[in-house]
Amino acid sequence: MRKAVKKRVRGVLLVMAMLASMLYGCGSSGGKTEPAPAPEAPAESPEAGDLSGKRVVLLVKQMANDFWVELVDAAQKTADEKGIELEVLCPLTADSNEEQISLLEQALLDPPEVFIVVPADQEGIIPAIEKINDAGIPIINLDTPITSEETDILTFVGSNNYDLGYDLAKAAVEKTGIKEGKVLIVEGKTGAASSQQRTAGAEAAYAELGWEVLDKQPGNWSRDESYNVVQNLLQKYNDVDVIQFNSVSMALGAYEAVTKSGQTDIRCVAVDKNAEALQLMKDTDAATLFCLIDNPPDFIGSKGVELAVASIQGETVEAEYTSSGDIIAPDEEGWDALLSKYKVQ
Amino acid sequence: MNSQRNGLVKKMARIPMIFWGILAASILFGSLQDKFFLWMNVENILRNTAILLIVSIGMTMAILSGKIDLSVGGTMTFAGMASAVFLKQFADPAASHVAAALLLAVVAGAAVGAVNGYFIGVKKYDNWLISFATMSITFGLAQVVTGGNIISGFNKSVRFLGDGKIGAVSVLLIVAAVLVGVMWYALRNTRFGMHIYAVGDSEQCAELSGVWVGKVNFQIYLLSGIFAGISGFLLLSKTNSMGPIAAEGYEFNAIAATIVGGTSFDGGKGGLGGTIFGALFIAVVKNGLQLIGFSVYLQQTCVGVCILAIILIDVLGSHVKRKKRMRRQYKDA
Repeated sequence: MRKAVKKRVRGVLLVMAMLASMLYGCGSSGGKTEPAPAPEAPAESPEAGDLSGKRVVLLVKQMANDFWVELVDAAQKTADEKGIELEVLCPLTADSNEEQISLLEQALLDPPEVFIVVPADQEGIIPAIEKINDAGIPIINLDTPITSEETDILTFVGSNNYDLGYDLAKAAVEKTGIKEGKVLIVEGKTGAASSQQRTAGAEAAYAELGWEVLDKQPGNWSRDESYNVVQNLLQKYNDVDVIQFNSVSMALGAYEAVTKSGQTDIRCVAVDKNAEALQLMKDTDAATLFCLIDNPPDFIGSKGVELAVASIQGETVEAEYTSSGDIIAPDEEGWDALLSKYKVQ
Repeated sequence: MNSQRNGLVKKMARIPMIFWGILAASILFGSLQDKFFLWMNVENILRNTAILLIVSIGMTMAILSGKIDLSVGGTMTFAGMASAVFLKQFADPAASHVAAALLLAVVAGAAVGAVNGYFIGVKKYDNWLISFATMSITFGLAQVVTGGNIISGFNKSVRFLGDGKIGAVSVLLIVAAVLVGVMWYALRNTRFGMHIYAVGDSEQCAELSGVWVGKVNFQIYLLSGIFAGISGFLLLSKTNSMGPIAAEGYEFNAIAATIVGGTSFDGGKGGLGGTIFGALFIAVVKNGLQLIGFSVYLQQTCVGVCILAIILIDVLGSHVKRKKRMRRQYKDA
């Protein structure tokens, strides 16, 4: 009988040992980052000393995508420069509103000076926002605007998703020079607000310019799914001029499907950029992947942290900071200039 | 005195492994981060467990009977969506509207459960395939209803069940405690509960001893659907929104909670008590990793490794026990 107890004890110890080894083993690469010493900071901002020991929490909605990784990196870089501690939170299930709420509730146990929040849904996040409001901690809202009037948001930083879709569609029509063309739209994850707004913007632009939207289908922000969706759509439609993608990774996923379809005159346009896409555009001289619109995540990330610091230091901030997206397409300056502008070797 | 001690040891040995896992994880996290044992955090953990636990009631019954219900996540989404669409008909839903919406969610869940129950219980089709099919159908329907959009933004009366408080206690916890308590009692003390275990042990034996197996199976899936419907509404109420992917993954978390809690896929072994700990374990590990500031990239992996560790220790433990029993038998002979 004593052996039974021993066995249990051994089991418990084993679990603890495993957990401990995991935690200490990988803990060094943890999401919490110690504030970097800011040697030159006092010279430019006399109040920088106030920031030591101050902490800002950044909640994103996923990290499985270049955009969010870049945003977090930019935020981290700015935080290091300013000498403030940045803690990054992220739901385990991408875009999970439920997990986002519980992450914020947990973060309130050890409240930071400022919350920087990228909500998965503009209204779904409100239960957590209300609790932060009750605790009297300022909130900076990034990327997806929290729309409720009853909540108190310090400021919003983001790209205008409607405009991104709209401007890209307009550029596609202008640059192809086709009148009354036909277009397919590949959306992001079903139900994601950013995708819905991009689609809405695109539809408005195409309607204005007399183009016909043949079909729109979700590609779930995924390369694989986008490939399948486009492959299926191109079997159904054989008179497509342009395919507009709500993210560049979906355009890259569908690239093969488009080139294999034999419809060589189809042009793909997409929101966002990455090195792979720019390189592909250069190599093919923008034959299929035709133009992109820049949606700068580094602006959003670093601006968010800058504003957090500004609010801690008691400076006033405006209600909204939005970035415009630049159209990325071949121009007179040539490919090398374009690629170096976006830091692609 | 010795026999008394033996009794205690026997009782200790009967406590599922997962309980010790929770204890170990709690002590570890508590020692690394003193905020872990604050009531506010404990309440967070419990609230994060509550909805999963209610879904897991149905899953535990299905797995106890040697089957599975893959459709619970879809049913939650479908039922929650039905409630959300209904509630959006009113500018400022009153308590009666909320009650009607909850009823609608229950009915929607029961409908899906009845479809599952009919094909699996009455028609005796494969339970994996049927519940997988209803999972796709319900997720799909939820998308059709809203065109893929998220429905969000509800008033305080809608959010009362999921986010409100009575005194210092979260309403969600009370709801979960009542539902789990009732079903825990029912599984252990009613004829229906005994029948589930009998069917899980062997459908043939149960049939031969006079259990109406088809009816029991139908009831299991019907109840599972109803609990998923309630969970769907609670999710809507807790998160102030319902999206076509809101409950994605609940089916697998419910399976994990049930299996980690000691209910076996073989059927007939385990129970709801273990599932409570199973659901808690997942929430404790997630919460603890987040509190100590563990890398977001590695959290998911760690949750998986912890689940694997618990199952391995459990399996090894029962293997050793079996070996010992055999040795004893041979020695006696």
